Amino acid sequence: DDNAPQTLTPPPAAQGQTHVTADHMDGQMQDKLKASGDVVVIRDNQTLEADWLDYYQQQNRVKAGNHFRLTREKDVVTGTTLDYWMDEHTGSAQQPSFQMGTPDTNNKPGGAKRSLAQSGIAFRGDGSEVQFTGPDQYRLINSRVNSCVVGDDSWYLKSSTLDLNYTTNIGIARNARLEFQGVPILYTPWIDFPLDGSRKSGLLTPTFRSGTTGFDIALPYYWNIAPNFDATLTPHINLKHGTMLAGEFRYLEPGYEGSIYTEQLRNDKLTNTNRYAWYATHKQTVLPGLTFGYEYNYVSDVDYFSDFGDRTLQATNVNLKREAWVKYSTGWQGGNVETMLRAQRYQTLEDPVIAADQPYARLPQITLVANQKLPAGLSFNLQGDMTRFAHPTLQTGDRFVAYPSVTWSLLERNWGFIRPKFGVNYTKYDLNPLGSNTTPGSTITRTLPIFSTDSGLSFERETRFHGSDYVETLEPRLFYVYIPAKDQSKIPNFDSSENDFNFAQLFSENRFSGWDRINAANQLTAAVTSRLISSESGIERLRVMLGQRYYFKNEDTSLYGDQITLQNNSKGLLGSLGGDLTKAWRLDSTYEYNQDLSKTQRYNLQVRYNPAPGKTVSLRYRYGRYEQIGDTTQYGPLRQIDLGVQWPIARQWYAVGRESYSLIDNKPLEHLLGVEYNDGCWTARFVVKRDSTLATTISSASTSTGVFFQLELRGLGGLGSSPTSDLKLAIPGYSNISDIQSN
Amino acid sequence: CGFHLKGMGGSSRPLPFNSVYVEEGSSKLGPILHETLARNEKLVLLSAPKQAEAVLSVLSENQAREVSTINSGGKVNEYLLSYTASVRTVLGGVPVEPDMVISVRRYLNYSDSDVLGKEQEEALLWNDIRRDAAEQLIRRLAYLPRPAQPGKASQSLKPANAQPKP
Amino acid sequence: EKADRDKPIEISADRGNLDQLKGVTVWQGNVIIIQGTLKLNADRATVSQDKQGNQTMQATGRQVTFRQKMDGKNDWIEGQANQLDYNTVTHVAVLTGNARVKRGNDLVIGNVITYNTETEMYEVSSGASSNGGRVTAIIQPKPRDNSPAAKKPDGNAP
Repeated sequence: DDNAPQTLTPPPAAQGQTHVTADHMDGQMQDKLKASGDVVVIRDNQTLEADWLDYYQQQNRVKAGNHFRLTREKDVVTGTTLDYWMDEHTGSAQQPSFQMGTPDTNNKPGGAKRSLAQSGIAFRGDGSEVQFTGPDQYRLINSRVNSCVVGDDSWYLKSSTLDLNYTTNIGIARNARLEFQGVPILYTPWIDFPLDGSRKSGLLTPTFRSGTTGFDIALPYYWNIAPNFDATLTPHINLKHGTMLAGEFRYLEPGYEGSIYTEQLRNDKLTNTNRYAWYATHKQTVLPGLTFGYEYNYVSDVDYFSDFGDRTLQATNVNLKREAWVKYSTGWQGGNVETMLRAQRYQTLEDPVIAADQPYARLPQITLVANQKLPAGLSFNLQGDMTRFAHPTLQTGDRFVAYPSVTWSLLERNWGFIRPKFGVNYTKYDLNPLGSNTTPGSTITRTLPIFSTDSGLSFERETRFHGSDYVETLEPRLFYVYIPAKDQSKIPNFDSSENDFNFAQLFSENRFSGWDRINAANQLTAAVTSRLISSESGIERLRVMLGQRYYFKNEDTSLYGDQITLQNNSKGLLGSLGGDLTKAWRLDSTYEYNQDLSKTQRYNLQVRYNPAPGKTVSLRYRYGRYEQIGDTTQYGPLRQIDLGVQWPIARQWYAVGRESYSLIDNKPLEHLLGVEYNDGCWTARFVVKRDSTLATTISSASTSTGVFFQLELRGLGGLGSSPTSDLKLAIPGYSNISDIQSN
Repeated sequence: CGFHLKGMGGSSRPLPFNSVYVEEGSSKLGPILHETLARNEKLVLLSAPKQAEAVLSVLSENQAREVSTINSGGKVNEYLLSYTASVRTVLGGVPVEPDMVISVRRYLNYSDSDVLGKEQEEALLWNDIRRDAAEQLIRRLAYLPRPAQPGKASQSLKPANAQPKP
Repeated sequence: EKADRDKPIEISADRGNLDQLKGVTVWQGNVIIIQGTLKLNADRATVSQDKQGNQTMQATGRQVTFRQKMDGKNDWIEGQANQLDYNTVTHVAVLTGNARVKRGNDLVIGNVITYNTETEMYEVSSGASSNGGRVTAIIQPKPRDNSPAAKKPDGNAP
């Protein structure tokens, strides 16, 4: 009978369709449905299981009871009773326990729409009530939460209200207590923390640092003012000096970015003066190619870092740069130009300041670099510099430099090249009268032609080595430079210094940097490079280089500008051997032989074995015949050995160590020993660090010890003083074990 | 002893493309990649990605200057300059997985008495590092897996006799 | 619709016989019962009438189906089961044996469905069936009030 209704087939699955199964059901069609007995409701990506359920179709609202389990993608909420509006994702549930996202280690890309697994931080816990306050938003009342696997109660963040917002990925806990192994270790009225582990947490993590620089407690507070503007305010309580407030403001906009950091200590107890430090940087792009910015570093007094900084800070903050610049660069077919105007000066932290150590200030400096391709393989380059040098004690004046040059690509193949180059360096000095003598300033000009030719060939062959195929290259290179000798002893030295003799320097015309000294040259540099390149990936596994310079006329220019004669006609044999031999082994070594004294000038050897994150051993030996071993006037032999180790010593336990020993002084320079424990959702670090500096002409011997203890709660942030930055510096290849899956 | 001029004999490996566009972005490595590629006379360098068989783009570039040695007087006398960059190659419209990552290191001997001079020496080393990185990256291009079937764009561009001999 | 109750009942079938004494009629083979908008198909139907004229009906068959128009709305109610018992007084229809009731786009599936055609109240249970069968309801999202009323399911010209 054709007009009989066909068998009633379920409607096709559609967005928003609700599928309810149970043992028993009754209700009124299109209005209310009461189901009982293992009720399962499936709606899009939400699944609800309960003992009984009332479903109000008009409001799309469900009430479920005695025990329910609501699953949405990776989030699971279970509890006793539930009242939930499926459309608005609002409602509440009693006695919830929840699991927000299960961290699956192999988070496949393109997983569920929003799955916490991709970010790996899964929070779980329970509470007295949960309120659903919108899609991906929960408010938990009297809850406790942690990021450990179910059953691991090593720590909990307990709070009266906890808002988890997975659209902004921020969790905010109010009236919160942090309990570790049951012991309350921190109370805070308000904290926010990242749910995807990306942003710094606002958690008030007290960090403390002890040691010879006094005991210092810091309470950093992170405040995310706007998505691209944040601030960290850190009051420091220093028993020796008093309380200091540190503030850091960072901003990042499409057109500009920068940061301002300051430390302010009113009325230091020891010196009863105000102590402060400023570090600010800013970079802004006004138009394509036109940028400007500044870098401002300044501290209140010379001993600032010896009072408030550790050994590294003291060592790296001898000259603090203050600089503002405007830069314009543009390019066209076959050429480009870049010009910069800047004002720069340094604050030298030395007590007493040695005049030679205090760098000149460039108030202002204009530089220009232009390149232009010309026909017939020629290319033109112009370097220009106009600077007004200022200095409290030394000779000051203005300098104008113009160094045009033309390079001819006589031969340009990938198997070889010959590039003769000819240029003229014109420099003009307008010097001010020096000190009290009344003679007026003087003008000096220096014009020097510079001729050089760089040439090289490239040979290859296939070889086998240790059972795999390599391409072995042999690349001889010859570099000739001719610069006539010129006495420059009357020319002051504003910004020149002698470059370190290495392979980059071996193939540059002038062995001095800066423009005040141009060495006389009639020399030929010969070098050969051989590389071992893996045949399947083309990655360079090993590189050997050997180079030497020959002087046709044994005269040269010293840093003071006068002419010196060389004992013999070759200087400096240079060698280097190194490369990433395999994924785990890395070798770096260089060697320099000094012909004049026929002695080894310097060599260093570094071997690193780093098979996997958390496993690294690095050994480095440095030998220097005549190096700066103290402050800037103290030179002598250097023999230093550094060992850095991070290695697992037991399941989830890692030992870290660093030993830096000066063989010449037979004294340790740096000890660092520590242990790290990673328990999946929390990591503890205990590190002791002892640095000792030997006596120098201007400072007495001193040792400083630093004790670091840190408790890092995964997803919440660290508590205590973090040694990770010190460890990264001390141990090449160090990796943060909280990132390693605790196996 | 079996050596031959590069690209002249033996199983020298030609580049898997005849035309390339280097998307420099704001990186410093981009211009040097472009300049080094320009030295290969068999290669056509284009100023737009449309016609290019290969597109090189510098995805990320970061350089760090870390203290590597503090001498017994507590002064820095050596910095380690480490540079890493990652470059993506798109051959015939198909990105080659994985992206090429290169890292190069140099040690800078340092003294606080020559701040201005060392500033320029450091710049010299950074240029040397980037040139070294560019050369290694370009050498690795020859070892990239050939695209399954050369992209349509390459057909129109392949001059008749430019078929590199196998 | 409520109005169906006053409409005459037409019954057509291959065979029918009447037991005057007990007031029971039995129809067999392609039974079609029509009363106003109500239409019922079955293989066998027995209609009995008590003295006051209240009728109860029991339809059985491989698949008994019925359709009836809802009151005032342009919706239909459809049902199917192995057996249907309908009592015109209580207006309660009891569908037993993989019973299904569809109203608009919502569908209810179970072993025993009792449905009151007047109050639209229904009750679905797995009944005494051996395998502890489950009951299911599939509810379509209610159309947003701004969209036109649900499109009439095609294929069921009045």
